Amino acid sequence: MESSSSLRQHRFPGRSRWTTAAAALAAMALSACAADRSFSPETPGNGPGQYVGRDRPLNDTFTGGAGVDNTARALEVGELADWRSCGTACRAHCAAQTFENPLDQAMCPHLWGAGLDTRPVDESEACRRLYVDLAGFFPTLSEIERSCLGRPASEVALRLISAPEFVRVNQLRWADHLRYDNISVNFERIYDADETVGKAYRGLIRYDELIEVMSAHPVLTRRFDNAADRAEALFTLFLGRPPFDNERADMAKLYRLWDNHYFDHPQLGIRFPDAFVAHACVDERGDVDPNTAGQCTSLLWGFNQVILQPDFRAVDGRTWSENLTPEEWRLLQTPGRILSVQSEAWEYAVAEILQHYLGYNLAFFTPSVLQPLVEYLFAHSGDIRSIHYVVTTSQLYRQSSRCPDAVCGDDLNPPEWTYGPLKQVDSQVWLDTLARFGSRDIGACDRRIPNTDDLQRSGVNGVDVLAYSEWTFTDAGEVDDRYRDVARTLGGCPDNQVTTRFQAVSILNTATQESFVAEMCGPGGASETSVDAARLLPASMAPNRALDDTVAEEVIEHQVRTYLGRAATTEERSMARSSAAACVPQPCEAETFARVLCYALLSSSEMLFY
Amino acid sequence: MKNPPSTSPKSTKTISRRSFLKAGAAGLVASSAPHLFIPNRAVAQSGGRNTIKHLLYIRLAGGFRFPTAFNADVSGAYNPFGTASGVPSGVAWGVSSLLSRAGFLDANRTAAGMLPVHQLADRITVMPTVDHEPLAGYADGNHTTALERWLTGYVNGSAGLFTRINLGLADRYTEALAEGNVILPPFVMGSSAMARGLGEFAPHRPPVLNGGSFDRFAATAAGSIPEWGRPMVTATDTRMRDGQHPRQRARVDAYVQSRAATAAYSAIFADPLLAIDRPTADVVDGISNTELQTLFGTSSSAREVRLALRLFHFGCPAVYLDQGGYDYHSGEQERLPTSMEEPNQLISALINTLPRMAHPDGGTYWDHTLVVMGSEFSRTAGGDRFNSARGSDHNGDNSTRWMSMPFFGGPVSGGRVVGATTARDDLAALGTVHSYRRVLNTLMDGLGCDPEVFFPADAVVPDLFG
Repeated sequence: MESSSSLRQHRFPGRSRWTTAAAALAAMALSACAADRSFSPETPGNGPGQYVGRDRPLNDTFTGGAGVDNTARALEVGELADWRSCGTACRAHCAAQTFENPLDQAMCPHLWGAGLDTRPVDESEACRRLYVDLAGFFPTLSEIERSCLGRPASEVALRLISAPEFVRVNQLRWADHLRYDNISVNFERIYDADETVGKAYRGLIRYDELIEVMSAHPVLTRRFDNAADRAEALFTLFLGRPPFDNERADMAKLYRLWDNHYFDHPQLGIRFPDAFVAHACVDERGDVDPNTAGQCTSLLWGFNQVILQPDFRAVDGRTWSENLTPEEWRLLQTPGRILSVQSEAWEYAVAEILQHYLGYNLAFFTPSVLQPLVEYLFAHSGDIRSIHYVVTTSQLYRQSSRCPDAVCGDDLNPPEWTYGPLKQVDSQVWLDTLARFGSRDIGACDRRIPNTDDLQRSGVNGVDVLAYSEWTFTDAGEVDDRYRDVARTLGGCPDNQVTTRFQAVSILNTATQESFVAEMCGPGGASETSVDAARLLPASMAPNRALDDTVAEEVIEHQVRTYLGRAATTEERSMARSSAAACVPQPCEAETFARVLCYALLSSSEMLFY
Repeated sequence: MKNPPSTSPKSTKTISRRSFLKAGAAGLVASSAPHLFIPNRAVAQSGGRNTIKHLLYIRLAGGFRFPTAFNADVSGAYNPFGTASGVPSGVAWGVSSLLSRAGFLDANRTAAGMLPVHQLADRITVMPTVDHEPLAGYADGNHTTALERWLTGYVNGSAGLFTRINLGLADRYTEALAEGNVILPPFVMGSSAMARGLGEFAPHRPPVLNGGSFDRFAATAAGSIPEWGRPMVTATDTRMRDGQHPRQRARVDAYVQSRAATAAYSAIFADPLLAIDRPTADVVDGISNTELQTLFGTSSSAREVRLALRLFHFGCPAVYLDQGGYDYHSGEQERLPTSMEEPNQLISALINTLPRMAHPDGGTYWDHTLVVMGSEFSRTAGGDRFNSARGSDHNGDNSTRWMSMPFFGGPVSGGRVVGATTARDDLAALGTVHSYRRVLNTLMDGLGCDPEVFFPADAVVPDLFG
């Protein structure tokens, strides 16, 4: 039975006269302490995440990865493919196959062994998908050629997973999971949580360490009003389900101490909501009270007790979380330690990653894939990056989403893993990519400070925090809200007060996307918001060059390579020639054609789905 | 002067039936999907059903200390700013001195007839004690959960109020479209959870507009594509769609249909009337955009209110927006009086302009419009005038609990108190406390929404209208 005892600290100074004076002195000392606390607008992160992490990644590389393409078992005459049950022939087929990738191996009984097949891998398509998912932007064909084509898929995935863009992409995902909201939580704690997530995705902490830290992190505890809500948030975050009533009631006892209060920031002059520990389950002398200790004790997962005895740091019966020691944090992280030894937590982590990359809930249909992947994760020391690697190098992920009617039209209900994923792109990926293609400065959004008003109003130090963040400023010194406005209309850059990121196809979203592309491309003619013609045309092509078939084909080849990350098809070249012939007033110029084509390609569904 | 164009929902910009069908009826009328909607013809008893054509719903963001404005006749622990003098006779609710702040009243606005809000108190009715959960033991003073309640009626509610409105008016859109009319849906300009829609509500999520501007739609997009270039636009989508695995095509189809539907709305989005910051003397509905800007000002909330009035012109039934930031844990004593200038100006300008704006269906916009203000919770200073940082906090007490919501517009006669009042010294409720969901049901009833979308466990407020 797991056991943890309450942490013994300095005795709370009772009620004698001298202790009253001591308490007053301690309060004065704390007050001075708060005023003198170090604060850097550049790196304001401050919280329990600073106590975890390694200097070197848990893994420099991962086993498995992409292997040879597997083949489907030939079905007997009259036999129908059945992915739900794997008989003798199915098992024999899978046993005879060679697998590098544990996901592919785990899926064999539901796929190749069942007589089903995946779609072939299209390297360009797979690489484009990989860039969006791992780096957060659509690549050009030049980038694909340089970094993907002809290279082993495992090498490409490993390189992208080891890049800073991968860390940022996942920091954004966790900002959504944890719903960073600096109205509800001191932004210094949000920075700390963000850095902790960054450590996980640089391989510097194990996944169970991430669960532990986040289970008692102020970004979680301060957002909720009571212990039961915190317990529920923990379950939802790391198990993907709300707790059962007995779980909620029991786990809530380990959140009994958390108290929502406020911290007057000495450097910024703002009162921030912050997490405090209220010293419950102790008597008036500060000793553990046997009569109430049960309120801070969980028995459902073994004997676990979270009680902190107050000392000189406590003011009005509560201790500011910033004054807690690493050992105290470790005690408060007991809920996370309980969850992190549950197989359910690891399985949920794997299932969530599968859903993220594949776009459907594979684990729901084939739960047997979870166990081998969890074991793979353990074999890599709990380095969560390993699951990202194994999924993105799998044939399930890399196969093409394309299939003509002649091949796939007759199959009415094929399982989703027999064709490649097609997902709607996140609005910020879409915006970032367009800004990149157009080399346009449209501002930015910082996930750690979704609400900028208070800091902007607070004075020089607050503005410094924003200046060091990803937010940008207008010439007038205001936070540049251009990016935020478009992104929030499209579902990105969430303020996280009650709403997280969303994806939608609606009239307003579509109109916004179309108008944004139109501003950039200038299909009606160049304007002050449109990009230079040189960016729309092949190198050395003059904008006023007369439009003919050759020019039209060169322009579409250039733009399809740049925007869609592939070569233009025969059909597209034909379309370009037809449009060039129809272009009026004749003679048309290359730029006129290029601007309309830019709009057609960048506003197309191929930029919205990948 | 330009004649106002025909603007009512029944006579807004028309497109032919053929054009409409070409525009992709499926996307356009997503809100009428019949299998998702089981009409219930029972009519709620608010007494004001169908009396609201337009709802302007404003959140005083961050948690607003209501007694400092709309329930002011209480002790200094709840309203440290005192009450106003010079309030019209017969006004039953407590008018705070902060409502008399009117630094915005320059010569132009005064000449236009704008007044300080305290002098307009007889046009405003207040519900002093709206509560999230009247049966709960204490208030919800948590930013996250209280705002959830404010936007969706519940914590983790499945639909925002505006999604409910959109679904509740689905029949109206269907009928208009059948007649070849395009009318705008409700618009959310603030917290997008107001447009949340899960399950059966998902297809009915209204648009969320950030930045309070349609400027980006002016003279852009589809309208700027030359005729010869249009085949490239459609062919690119078609090729993408046709190349996908048949099981993947539905989501691409949804986008293609949305593009077609967007084309139907593009004329409205690009209408100069929605370019609210562009100087123009063109008078529409009896007032120009320039004059609206003069009266309302140029703050972000003012811009959104001005835009709302113009969206109403195109049949939009409701607009939601967030105003200000009142989470004054510190500095409230100093900052709140100044901050109140902005909502005061909005109220004053609305009460000034709505009665002057001619509505296409007859009467004025005042006759057909209801303006409502609220917040996710009120605030407390723990029994003192202010907390130790000269601000106020929020927890479970009565001071946090009561949302004292003001209502004004033709459908609601002014100067009254609806529901319970509060005791002066401890804010104890005296009378019937209405749930916040009752208020939402009442608003939906006023708009004529199908009662199927109401919160089923809550009734309506029987005496708000009239």
